[in-house]
Amino acid sequence: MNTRKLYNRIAVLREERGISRKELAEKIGVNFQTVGYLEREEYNPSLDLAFRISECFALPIELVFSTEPMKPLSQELYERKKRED
Amino acid sequence: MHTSMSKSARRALTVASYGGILVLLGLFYLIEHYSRHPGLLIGAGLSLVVIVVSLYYLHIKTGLWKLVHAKTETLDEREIQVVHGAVRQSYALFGVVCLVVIFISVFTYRGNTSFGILLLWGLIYLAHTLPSAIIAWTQEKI
Repeated sequence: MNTRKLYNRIAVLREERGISRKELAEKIGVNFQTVGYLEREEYNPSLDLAFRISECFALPIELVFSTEPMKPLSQELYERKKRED
Repeated sequence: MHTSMSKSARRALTVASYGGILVLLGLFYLIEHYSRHPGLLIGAGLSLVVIVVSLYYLHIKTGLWKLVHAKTETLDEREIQVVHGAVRQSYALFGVVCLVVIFISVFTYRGNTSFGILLLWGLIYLAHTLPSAIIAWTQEKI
């Protein structure tokens, strides 16, 4: 079975919150090297792990992961604000 | 304890490690059946040094030995995938090597068991180091 590449914002969200890879790894229950693989999009997490990561950042899963390349968060926020106005 | 190493360095150490075993086996066979020339003995000693050094740097210092021998409960989902993939490939390769060794043994048996014992130790070494060698060979970063 060919699996699709999953894109994510883990690195950006981690930096925003000032969390190290080790701290994030402890919160989600993986080795810190696995966090590196996730951030470089070299590993697709299981559904359970994807939800644990999203819950850790208190964000909906679709804001953290995507099957298509993700826009910068600032751009996404700007577009959402434009739609609301 | 975990040391990062480039993929090319890990591949070079893998070749040195298993090449060292083949050279040691070859030299040991020559020593036992033909001549105890000092050059052959020194060569065998050097091969052993290469094997031990590469074992340490490739399997121990990188943490790969610990990774492949760890209990599954202590590994995260990605590590389990990597280890199980390596173990699957290892034992397919190991099976092929065993069959080739048995095949060669049938045609070269001369009643001497020392070489056979060394060969057996070589296969045991192969069995224990092949999974971590495969990870060292295939993974971009460890």
